[in-house]
Amino acid sequence: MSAAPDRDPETLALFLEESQEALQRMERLLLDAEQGKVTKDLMGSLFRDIHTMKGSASFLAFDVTTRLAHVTEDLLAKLRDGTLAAKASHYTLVMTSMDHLRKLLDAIKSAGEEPAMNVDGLIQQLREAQLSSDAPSTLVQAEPAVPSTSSMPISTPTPEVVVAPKDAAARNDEAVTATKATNNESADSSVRVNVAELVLARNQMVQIVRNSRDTSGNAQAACQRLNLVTSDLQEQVMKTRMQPIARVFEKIPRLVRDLCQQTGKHVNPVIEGNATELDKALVEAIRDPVLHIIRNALDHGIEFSEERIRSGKSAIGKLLVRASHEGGAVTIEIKDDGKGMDPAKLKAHAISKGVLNQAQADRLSDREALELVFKPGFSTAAKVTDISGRGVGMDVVRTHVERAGGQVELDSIVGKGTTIRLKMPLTLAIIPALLVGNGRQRFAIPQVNLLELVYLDDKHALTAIEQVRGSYIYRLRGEVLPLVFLNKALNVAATTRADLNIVVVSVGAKRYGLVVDEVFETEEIVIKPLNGNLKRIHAYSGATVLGDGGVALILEVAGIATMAGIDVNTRSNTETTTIKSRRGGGDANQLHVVFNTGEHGRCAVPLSMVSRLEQLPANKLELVGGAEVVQYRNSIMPIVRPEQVVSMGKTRQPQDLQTLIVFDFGRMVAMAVNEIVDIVDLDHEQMQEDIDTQFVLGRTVLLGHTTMLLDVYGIVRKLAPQFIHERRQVLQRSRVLLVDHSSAMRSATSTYLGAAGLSVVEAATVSLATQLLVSKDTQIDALITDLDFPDGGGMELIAVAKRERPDLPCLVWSMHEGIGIFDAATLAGAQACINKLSREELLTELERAGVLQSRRSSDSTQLRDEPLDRRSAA
Amino acid sequence: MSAAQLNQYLGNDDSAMWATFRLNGETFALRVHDVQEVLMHQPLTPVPLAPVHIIGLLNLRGQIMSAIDLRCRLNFPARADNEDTKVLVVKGREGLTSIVVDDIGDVLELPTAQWRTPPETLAESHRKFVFGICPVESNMVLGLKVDELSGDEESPR
Repeated sequence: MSAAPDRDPETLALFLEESQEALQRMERLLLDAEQGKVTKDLMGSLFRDIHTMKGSASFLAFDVTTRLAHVTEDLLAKLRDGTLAAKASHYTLVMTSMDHLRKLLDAIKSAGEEPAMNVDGLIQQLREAQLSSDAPSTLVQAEPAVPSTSSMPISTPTPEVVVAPKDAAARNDEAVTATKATNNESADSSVRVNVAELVLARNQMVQIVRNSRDTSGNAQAACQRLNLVTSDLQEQVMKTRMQPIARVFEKIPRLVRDLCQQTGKHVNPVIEGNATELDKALVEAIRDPVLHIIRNALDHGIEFSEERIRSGKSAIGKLLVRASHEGGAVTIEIKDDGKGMDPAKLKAHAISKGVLNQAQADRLSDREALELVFKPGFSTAAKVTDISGRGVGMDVVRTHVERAGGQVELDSIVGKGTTIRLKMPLTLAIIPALLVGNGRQRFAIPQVNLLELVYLDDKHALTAIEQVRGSYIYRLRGEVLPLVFLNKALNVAATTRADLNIVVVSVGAKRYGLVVDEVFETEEIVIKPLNGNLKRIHAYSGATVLGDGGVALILEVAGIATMAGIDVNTRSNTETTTIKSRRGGGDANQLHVVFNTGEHGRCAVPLSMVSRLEQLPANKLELVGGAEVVQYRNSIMPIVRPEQVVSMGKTRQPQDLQTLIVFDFGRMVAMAVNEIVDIVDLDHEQMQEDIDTQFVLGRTVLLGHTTMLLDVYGIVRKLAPQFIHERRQVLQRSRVLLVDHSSAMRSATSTYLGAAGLSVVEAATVSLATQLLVSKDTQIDALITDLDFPDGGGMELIAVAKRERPDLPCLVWSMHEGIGIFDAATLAGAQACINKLSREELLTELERAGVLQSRRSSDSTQLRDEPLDRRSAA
Repeated sequence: MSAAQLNQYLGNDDSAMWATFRLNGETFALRVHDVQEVLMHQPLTPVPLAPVHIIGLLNLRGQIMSAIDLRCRLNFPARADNEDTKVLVVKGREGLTSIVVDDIGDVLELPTAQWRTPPETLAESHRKFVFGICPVESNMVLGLKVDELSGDEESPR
């Protein structure tokens, strides 16, 4: 061991990080090289990486590392220059060297000092490999101190790493460092827990303030601030914790290669979804299970080439490892095309292991027989301790995955292969959830499982649902939706309510309706695991503390479906596609409710604006003073019909049920339509703008029909002005001119501003906006403009505004980030420049400009259903 | 139960402090270091489908734990609805659990030497949870196995 020089900790950390990255990269390249994809670039890159590592190691006086890197570099240099013909054994040797380098780095990382590892044998091999092109393979066999990777999988304990026993003091040092690492990890998790607790405290605070009779608004303002800061902090903490799954997946090619060498099988791994991100702790949690499943697949699943050819398969086995986002969860699929699992053999094995007896085995279905692999004691392992060893059972895999809040599913067809799916939550701890009531108890349904809410009033509850073969169904837009009554599923007393609240939830590709007594608001909840006995109840995934201090159980919709006998594994193709279209999409896409109205109108409105979809008896609609209204939840809700302002033919009077789309602008207002067609993702990019038709923002072809995206706010403003007036008295009638070239952005922004109580005039171009500014009879209280337009710039517009209306507050609303541009805008007279992502800031600036006086508290979560009185109190 | 098993529950101290509590007229004890705190009657959230002895979830300063009705666990008759209860928060194998009891008794120092294995005549329903008995004056204190109380071997449905 060299005398420990005074190493700068920062340099050391940098060296470790760089070197570990380099090793990772080299491994990938070596695997490529091994498969014959050798290029000059590849070899060059390998050489550069090892060269850099050697340099840094030598600078930091890590002698063993330097020597090993040096001789490896020599070999790579010869291979690169072609002075030595590359052989598989060369790559194996380099990989062995890299394994040792990695161990050295790990040891340096934990102990701060290089361990006295005996690498002389390996160095000797690397040297000799450079001399003759056929020597290495024999040497590998001849050198017992350093067996080649072909005789040992990387996962087993590594006897060849001879770490010289250190003196007691040094060992103590190691122990101390290990403790430090643990402390760091626990500090990390305590930050997460604290943020989670902060969110709970925030929820509680919001609720207290909401229910208090504080008229000054001070508490509300402070509370809102707390609300925002908390949400922000939460988001940031969560973001910093997200890591790509590549951290696990990048180990797969090497593992497969080693296992192939070891077993003599041929397998081609295909890895997809490397960039899928999930919480750091979860990435750690799935590492061992994933690698273990792969090990199993190669050991027991995929056959030898000869056997594969005999059974008509390609000689090379396929192993697909794929990660993808599905809803709010990450699915990791590990699929092989091996021989699959034979239920009969599994049963026989289970009997021989004493897991069950013959009589029990006979009663098992094939599907249940597959589940046997998850039984403790089924595995051939002598000791079930940790997962990292070989031969450890799938029961440990399941335990590890479930402990991290995930699920394991297994599918296997004899002769065709096995697929194992791990479903993991995206993050631990905090999720948005819908609170529902059943009996006198509240339950939380994770938002990721929610599709929509359907309310049927007492008159229709009975007729709208049908009984088919003993179970209840509801026809939702033509699709048969199985219903599960929560009280029955949980075996609690039935309620006497006559109306029905159906929460439409999804489990993978399957949908069903969960019937609950009441639907409350959405809340950010912190998942707390249940322990012991309760963990076994499949109906719950945990519990949470609510804003009011009460406890709510979190419903596991998949578990409830299974308990209610709904097969969640059957997927119909059509369903899968619609779900995909519902789920997919980034920022440009938004879910829209598509409906028919009038005689031939096909329209869409953003789902985010919709509070809920209702069906009420048509005769409940009344005419009051020439305007249609309906009594709804103890208040009068105005009804608007798009065909009254957009040409789509006459209103079609429904026979019995009137479908309503209910919007909540602080007060409820409903749009009466013929029927809801679907809820789909709408790509704003593909939408054609429609500037000629009033109340229509754009047109696009959806599901084979030309569909109009309606300007909901405009229609409501036009058709239910009394509703708008009421608000204005409170909120001071202000009007802003919103200039943005993107219709999607305009629509989103004006919806947002509309919800804040502002009236919005939109313009897509500088020339139109200029006209509006110049004509003095248009009331404009503020200008909000983007910077780039096809016919000019936002700067010019601000100049026009300042000339025509010197007192008009001007706000720049842009995705630009350049400080220079913002400075210029400020110079031109803009009050502020706001990034389009921070809508809250826009409201703040409008308040500052005196355009917006009071704001209702905006919750970070989307409120789908909240009683009217509570909302308008803010 | 053998003396060795008895010692496993008594630990190495010659005399340890025991928290006693009352249940259906009998006195039970848990080691003081297994008891985190004692609470007054607590609001509980029922858990449908849970085993009968779990009567709900309890929110202790943000931490959620299950509440076990010891009367039910030990097959005693249920108490009347309006009867007051106390809650002991105990540190079990699976973290914190709370047990609902009739009333709290004194903390006693019970010398290890005085503990006896439970008599053969002990009710079947008690045998699983009671590791030993200890005479105190004219009464018997029954020592409970803390980890068995929350035991999850019983089928929930």
